[in-house]
Amino acid sequence: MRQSLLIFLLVLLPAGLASADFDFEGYKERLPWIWETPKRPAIPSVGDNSWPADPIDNFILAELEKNKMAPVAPAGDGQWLRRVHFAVTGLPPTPEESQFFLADQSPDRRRTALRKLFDSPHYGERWARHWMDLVRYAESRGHESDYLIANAWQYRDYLVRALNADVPYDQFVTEHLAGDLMEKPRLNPESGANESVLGTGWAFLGEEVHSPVDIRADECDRTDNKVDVVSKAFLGLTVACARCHDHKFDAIKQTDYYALSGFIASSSYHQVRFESMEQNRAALAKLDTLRAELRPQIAKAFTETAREGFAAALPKQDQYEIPGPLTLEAIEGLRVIADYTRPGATPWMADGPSFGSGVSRDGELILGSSPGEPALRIAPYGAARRDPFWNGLKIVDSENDSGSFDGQSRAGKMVRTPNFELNSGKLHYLIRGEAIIYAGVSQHIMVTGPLHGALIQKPKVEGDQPRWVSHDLSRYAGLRAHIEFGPQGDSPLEILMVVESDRQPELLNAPVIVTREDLSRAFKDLADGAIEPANISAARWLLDQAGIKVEQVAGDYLTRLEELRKEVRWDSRLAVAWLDGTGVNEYTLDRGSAAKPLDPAIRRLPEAFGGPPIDAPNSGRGELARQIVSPDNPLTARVMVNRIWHHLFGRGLVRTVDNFGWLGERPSHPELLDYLAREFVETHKWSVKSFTERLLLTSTYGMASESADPAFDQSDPDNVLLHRMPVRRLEAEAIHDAVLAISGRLDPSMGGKPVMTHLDEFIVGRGRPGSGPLDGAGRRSIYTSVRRNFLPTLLLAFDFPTPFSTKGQRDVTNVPAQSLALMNDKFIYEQSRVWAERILREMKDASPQQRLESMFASAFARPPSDAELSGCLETLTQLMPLYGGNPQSPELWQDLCHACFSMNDFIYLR
Amino acid sequence: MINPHSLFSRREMLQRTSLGFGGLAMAALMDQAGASAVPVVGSPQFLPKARNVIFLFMEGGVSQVDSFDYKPLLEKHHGEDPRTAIGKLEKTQFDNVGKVLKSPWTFKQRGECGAWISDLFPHIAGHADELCIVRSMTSRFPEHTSANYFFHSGTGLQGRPSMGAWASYGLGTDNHDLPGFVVINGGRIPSGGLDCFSNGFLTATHRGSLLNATGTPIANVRPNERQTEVQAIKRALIGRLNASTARGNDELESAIANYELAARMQLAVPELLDFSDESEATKKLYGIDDGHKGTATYARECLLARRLVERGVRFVELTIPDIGEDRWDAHGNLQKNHGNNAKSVDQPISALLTDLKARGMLDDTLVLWSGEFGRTPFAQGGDGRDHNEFGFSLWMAGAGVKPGITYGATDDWGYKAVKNVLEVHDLHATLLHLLGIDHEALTYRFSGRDIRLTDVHGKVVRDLLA
Repeated sequence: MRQSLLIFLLVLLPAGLASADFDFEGYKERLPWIWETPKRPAIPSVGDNSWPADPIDNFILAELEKNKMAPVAPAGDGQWLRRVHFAVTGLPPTPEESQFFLADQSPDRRRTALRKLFDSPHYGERWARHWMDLVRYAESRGHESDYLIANAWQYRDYLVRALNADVPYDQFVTEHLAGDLMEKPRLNPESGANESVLGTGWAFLGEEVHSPVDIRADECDRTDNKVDVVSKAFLGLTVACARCHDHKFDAIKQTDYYALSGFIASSSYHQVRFESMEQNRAALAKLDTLRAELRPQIAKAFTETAREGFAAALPKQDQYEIPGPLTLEAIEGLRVIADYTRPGATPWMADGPSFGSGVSRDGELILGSSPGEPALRIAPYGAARRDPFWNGLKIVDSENDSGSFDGQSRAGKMVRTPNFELNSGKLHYLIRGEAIIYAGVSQHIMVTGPLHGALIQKPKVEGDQPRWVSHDLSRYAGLRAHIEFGPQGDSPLEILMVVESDRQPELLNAPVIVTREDLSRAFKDLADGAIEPANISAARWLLDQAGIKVEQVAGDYLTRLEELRKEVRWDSRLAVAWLDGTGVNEYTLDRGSAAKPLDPAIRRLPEAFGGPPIDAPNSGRGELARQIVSPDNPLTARVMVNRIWHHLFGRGLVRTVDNFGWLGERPSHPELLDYLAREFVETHKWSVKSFTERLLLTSTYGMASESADPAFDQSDPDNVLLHRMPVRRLEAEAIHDAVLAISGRLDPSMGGKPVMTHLDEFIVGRGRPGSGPLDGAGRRSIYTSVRRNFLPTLLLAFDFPTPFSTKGQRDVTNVPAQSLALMNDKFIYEQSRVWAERILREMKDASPQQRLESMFASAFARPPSDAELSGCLETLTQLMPLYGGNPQSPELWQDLCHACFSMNDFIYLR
Repeated sequence: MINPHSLFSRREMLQRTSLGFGGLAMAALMDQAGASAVPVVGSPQFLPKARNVIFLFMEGGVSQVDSFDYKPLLEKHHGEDPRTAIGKLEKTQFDNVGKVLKSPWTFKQRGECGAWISDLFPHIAGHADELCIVRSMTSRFPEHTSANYFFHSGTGLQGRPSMGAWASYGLGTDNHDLPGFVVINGGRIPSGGLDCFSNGFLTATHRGSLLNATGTPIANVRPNERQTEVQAIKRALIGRLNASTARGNDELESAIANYELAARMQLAVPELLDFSDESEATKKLYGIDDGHKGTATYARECLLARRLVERGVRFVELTIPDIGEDRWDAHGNLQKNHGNNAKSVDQPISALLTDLKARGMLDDTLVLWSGEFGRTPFAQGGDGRDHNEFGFSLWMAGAGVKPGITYGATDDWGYKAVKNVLEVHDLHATLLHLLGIDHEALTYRFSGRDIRLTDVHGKVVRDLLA
């Protein structure tokens, strides 16, 4: 009662008073260890020195001995093998693998078996799924119509590859937080694709609301979810509890929540050309170099070619009226949000090479890129200017965003403005060409439905002159935004300015009068390859009159350009990723209400970590990652080793794997936890594979699961001290995949587009996608689509988690619906038939007993006991008359196979 | 305060149950394997008024000013610009504000209580003296999915436990052959999908089980085997072999018991769906064979609801039938939309109230009728109404609520609740109270917090209690 009263009072009290109860130092002190770097503890000495196979075992045994308990005898080899197969790959050992292992007499046979398992690509599939629970992986956005998240599955394949490659955990975390910002991203050894950037995709795998009326409140909810995932998955902290007030139980201030939110507010969503980006980054640098090198030569060649007859071609006049420079009317209250007319005015943020490596400035000499184009032009004004060299970039084999967001239209060919806050919301863009413009107000990307279509504009400014295009975002006045510009088709696109004002400022480009002398000076400048600002208009006019094509003067430029084109990777698939923006410090919100902003919170890790603030000009996610993966970080390594322990033993040393805070549980073996954390970082260099292998070789993991002594079950009913291995039920996916493996239907191919979920009549709702095959095409369940509103029935029955936030510890329920599923689920029934037919085919002349022995070896990795054998044979006798007395009846054997899938020994690990 | 963590451990419970696993029906409650605590409260805290709840969810949002909230002013100002007549308007989902729109249905005072109910629901209107009408409900979300999640779970987000799941978690079930929270699917799953009936972070037992009003009723209750005796033979083998390997392990023994429960469930469901023991008069009363497809479907749903409640299912929710029309979401052509939807549900709901009362079941069954929000008193475009979360009507009937009252009021336009304004959290608190549960005490620890259906809000609305 007291607690609910407390909550009640806190609700009534104004925020300022409520936080008076928050005791930062007190909260820190009552759980000091979570804020302190783990120290390497001494290895405890034990009475029975013969038992430990690893210092890890000393920690377990010492506690048991202290409590007058002893570990149970080791598990048999067959049992151990079934355990490690599921632990490492999520698949059962085949009868051949069991036989091979049992026949191996070498003392190192367990290690040998593990090496093989860790080398299997199925390892990555198994452990990727564990990770997917932490990042609430899904391929659709849930909510009203469950719209697709385009190319979400690329993140899943990234995980599988990263785990198989044993990417060190510190790198893996860095890729999740700042994979887009790494100086040397990790490249796919085969394709050269950027792997690191794919890690950031997790951020956008959450729910997105269709047409929220309050777009800012909606943003706050999405951010909450991301902060929740970051803080739980990597740090085992519940920072999102501090959205409305200082944390009720931990040393986490409300400002800490908003400090983390800032990293998210600073960055935006995009579809990344992960396969081509690195190669083309290099090609762009070469292109810049080539042009810088050849520009003076070509200008010179140009003037030489033009000298003849050029003067003659000009009409004989003293003065010429030519187009003048472009200037802007000065109007009051004009706010310049982005200015691309001169370098350095606005931070350059581009996705891909299409707009070059920066502003194309006023007076820049632009070389023609293909025969027939004018050899030289002079940029009449500075702009973010699309370079047609890159027009051949293609997107292959990729999904596009739902709604009108159309990420494909800007993937690899986008310029975005810094983040800014809308005042009046009356924006005007000075552009030329055809554009698709997205106003990222409150980062609302689920653009569909009646309300927010105005975020997207597709203006067309034809002709030679830029013009203003207005974008009325006054509905969103006061909200944060950034603007993304992408081209339409092969059209040119120049972006000069983004301004906010009540009306479009007038463009002034009055003609100027030049004399023949002015033209001569300009001509000389051209010959010298450098044009004085005063001569730009004249030089531009001259060039336009000359009509010289690039092939006339280019020398080997066009050849070298062709060679460079071959170095470009034109095709790429797309993936979901973060795109960095300018640094934003999020407002602390009074009681979490989007409508009540207080002061901004400087970006940083929660203060209790003691690290410095991260007030970077960009998002600062790189520095955030550095602080999180620092060996001094008190939680990162502890949280990860505890997760690995949890997956192997069914329960973490800290049982609440996502919450190391006050409302979580205390570690059962605190010194062991610290020892493991130090070992993980120092000895194993953050290698998840080698660390996991080590745990699997301990005597602790090798214990049998039967109780050694009923007295131990009395004194330690939950087996917290681990005097035996716990019996664990297989996860939903392991059950599904084992059925396929045993029936022989398993298709071991990896990766790629998801197989659509088979939708039975109980998976219904708006936005229902097409149904897939009942057997998931034989693929492992990780490749079945995860549509938020249409999750697979069988997996749900066995506690597949609803993907709404980090879920490091799945439920393990034991309910009749599971028995019903095993008895009546059509997939299981169908696979029983597949298995039965395989047995009848492969063991045509075998006796029933031989067949049963083979079935037991497949399903349970052990031979049947005499009682089991006689039970099965009796059942065969009972059933046979129902199938016309035919001992070879497929239905008859299907029933036996079906019974095996329903056995506890199939769905449990001993 | 109920602390589910302090109840018997599984092991204690098993040891205290002298029947051992033979009487393991109660173990179905204790479904969290490996946990030391039983995450189920299992019994009410004080004498409940309601044992069961039937929730008639009118998805899409019924217009209050066309049903239970009579506003003569709309007739007077019909066709005027609402910004002039009503004043400043809030943003709406479509922001396509038309004129002030009077109701096309006639309101009359009904029953002895004299409640104003329109002709939209002629049958339900006949029960005016049973109804406890609330005309001051509010929501926090003006679009369907968030509002649906909010109305069901007290949070506008996906993945939180629905009120049926909380009721099942708090009270367990009185029938171990059927789930504690059943959703009868008439064909229109609400926006937000099955997560409206989610168990959220509660264990999977408490998830709303979908029971199709037509077609296969429940997932996995129909055996695939063509010969009925085959399954029994298999089950015997499974039982025998599992028993030989359980070796006293709790977990494995519970799984064995589940097979027996599953088998009983398989039998319970066909019996539930078999209406042959219902009189012709009853079937006619509900409209089982009505020519209007929506009426026939919803009649089946309502009759199934009564039969589920009779069998001890704690919480039954009905989704509206698919009639080719949109749900109650009348953005255009209000008259056709609301007319058709009302035709589907009016007679069956009336029959349900009559039937429950005749059987004495209304005394301990609470019937709740509501949409996720209401609609604007002014038009969207020409003849529709947009979403309105600022004020709408619902009604309850039966166990523990005052019959024949109207509570709360909206302003003169039926736009915003102004008197005795209620929040969804208040409804949840009151609902749990009627079930015998203190809403502040029913908690589940998740994500570092003890979470409630009512979050940190909600008050029991005593004025509604009989």
